[in-house]
Amino acid sequence: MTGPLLRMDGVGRHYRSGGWLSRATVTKAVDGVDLTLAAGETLGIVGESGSGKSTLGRLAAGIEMPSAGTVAFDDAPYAPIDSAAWRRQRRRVQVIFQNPSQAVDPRLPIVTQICGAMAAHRIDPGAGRAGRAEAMLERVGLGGLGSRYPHQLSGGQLQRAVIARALALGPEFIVCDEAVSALDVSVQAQILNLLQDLQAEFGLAFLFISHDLGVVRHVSHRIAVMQRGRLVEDGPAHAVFDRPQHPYTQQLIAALPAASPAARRARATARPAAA
Amino acid sequence: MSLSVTENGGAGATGAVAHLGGATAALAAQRNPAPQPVLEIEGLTVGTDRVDLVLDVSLRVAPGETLCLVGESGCGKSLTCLAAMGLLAAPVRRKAGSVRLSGVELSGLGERRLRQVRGRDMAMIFQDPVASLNPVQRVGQQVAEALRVHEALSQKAASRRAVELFDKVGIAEPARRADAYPHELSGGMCQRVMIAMALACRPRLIVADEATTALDVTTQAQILRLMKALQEEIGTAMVFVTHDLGVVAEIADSVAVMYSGRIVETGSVDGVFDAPAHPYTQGLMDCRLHALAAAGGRLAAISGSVPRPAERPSGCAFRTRCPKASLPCERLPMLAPFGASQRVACHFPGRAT
Ligand SMILES: Nc1ncnc2c1ncn2[C@@H]1O[C@H](COP(=O)(O)OP(=O)(O)O)[C@@H](O)[C@H]1O
Ligand SMILES: Nc1ncnc2c1ncn2[C@@H]1O[C@H](COP(=O)(O)OP(=O)(O)O)[C@@H](O)[C@H]1O
Ligand code: SF4
Ligand SMILES: [Mg+2]
Ligand SMILES: [Mg+2]
Repeated sequence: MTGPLLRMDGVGRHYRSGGWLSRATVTKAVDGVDLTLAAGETLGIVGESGSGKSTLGRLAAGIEMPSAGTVAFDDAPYAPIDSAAWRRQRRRVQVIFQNPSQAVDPRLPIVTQICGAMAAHRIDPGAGRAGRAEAMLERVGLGGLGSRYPHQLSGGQLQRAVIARALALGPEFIVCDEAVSALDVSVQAQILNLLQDLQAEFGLAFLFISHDLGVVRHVSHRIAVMQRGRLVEDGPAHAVFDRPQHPYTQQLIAALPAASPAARRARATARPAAA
Repeated sequence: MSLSVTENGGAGATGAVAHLGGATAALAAQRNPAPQPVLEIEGLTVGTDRVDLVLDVSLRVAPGETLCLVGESGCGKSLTCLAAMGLLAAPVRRKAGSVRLSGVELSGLGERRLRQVRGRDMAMIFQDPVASLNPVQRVGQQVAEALRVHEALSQKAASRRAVELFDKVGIAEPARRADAYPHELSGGMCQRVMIAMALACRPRLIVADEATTALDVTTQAQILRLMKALQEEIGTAMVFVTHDLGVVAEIADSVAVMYSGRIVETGSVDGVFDAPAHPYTQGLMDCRLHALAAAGGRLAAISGSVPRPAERPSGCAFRTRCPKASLPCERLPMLAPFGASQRVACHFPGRAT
């Protein structure tokens, strides 16, 4: 591979609503987005709810097709959804969503679900599967818990199980859409550490979507800021945070809660008019 | 400030006591050494017949004070709030302890009297405003109805007052928005409606359970600022549940940390942030991702997760996750004073030096 792992050029996704009895309106959920992501890199996407982050994530993962522009993974556009080529590509790109309980089958032990995912992609036929599934569970800190059903795991454990299932397929690129947003801060820290370790170990690339700027800042090499479907600013994580250029980014950062009561008082004295 | 300790001193003082903090409360304390707390919870135990979910919780909140209740999910924060509001639903019930609002015992009140007190003297704001609003009634009407019931206003006066309240909580075009149904408004807007509703009768106590958790940071900042300003204006006491220590830093006067159903540390917000004494509080502080910290490094995480109530370890419930756990921790630690404002339930409090 020569170019970036993922490349989006002038990508748009427009949704039409109404239009039969009422007047049709078009929502430009994603509008004219250009971005690239290198192998082993984490690109963070921040923005308020409704800004188009999840839509961008689905386009980047190839599970939704753009209405405009092109999305190329490993130098080739995603194949049409549900084609044989598309199913082969699925193995290489995984998505992890906010709510792990919606991503698993409540009726099956988690190890069975991991083996099932491998079977669907014809990975390690036969006895090799169970061993690989167990190794992945071990890797995410769930060693020995494979026979548990989803309801027997905490939210953090279930998200680990979802990560293990994604890992078992040997992906190169994972879209994390609010993947830690529903977890307690303590558990978020465990999962973020795990994701960083896995990135170092397997050279994974992440598109890390979150409305939580603190989380995105922590995990990302680069950050892109989204507002009303467009990228309004992007750059190295520290630059975007320390020297935000766009007023919208400045507004997001100014709204972050203080780190301590002392920091809050310092901010209040520095900007008395802001209240 | 030893006021609550001395008052409560002696045999019964095993529960947590939320100390006064913040300018308003401190001033009030100077003028009057023992203002009557708005909310006083003592020895509250909540559970089902089979298991205790909240154990021996004591809290007090003074007029104008904001107490933040923090802890991971499953630690009993919501049940404590629901018990304070008399909103527990079977099979969960209050098994022991008392809840007093401005000195009036609520635990014995019948459902009718309770309903009067709720809304008029105390109000609750939940995490999901859309689910708390009636989906088939215009939001203005919902607020007006609360006003009519509790303030005996005419239909017309109540509607007018509802629009005034919408304006006050920062809803643009309040008269037009009052005609909207909940699904026509954004989450932030619905939460403003809930706040307008909570404020409608100028209650003495507002209980907010993760009221800003689902909102974007910019909306959250606006709502926190709004609640603080309105609180200062009408002197309401507030219990604010959050798992976000950044939010605590923004609005709290005092803090109570819950773990597995018990309060493990309380104190002024400055005390708890400057010198967290309980290993659990320390863990929560250390795993924060505050935005301006150095990126990329490893986060200090608390290993494991909150035990299910039925599997709560004996003795100190935190000992299965605590880096300092040792033999004495098999005995339940009692809350004891620590530093100037704190109380902590740990056999080895404070940071190792
Ligand atoms: N399948 C869909 N059909 C119609 N509109 C959609 C669809 N998905 C998203 N949208 C709209 O696109 C915009 C962006 O949504 P989304 O990508 O979910 O944003 P975010 O993840 O940043 O909250 C919103 O206005 C949303 O209502
Ligand atoms: N109706 C119920 N029946 C049994 N257990 C419950 C019920 N409601 C809550 N619990 C349990 O009580 C504990 C505390 O719950 P909660 O107060 O909601 O915690 P928090 O608000 O801190 O997340 C949790 O373990 C929860 O599973
Ligand atoms: S009592 Fe022991 S186990 Fe509990 S928090 Fe203190 S040191 Fe840790
Ligand atoms: Mg989204
Ligand atoms: Mg709760």
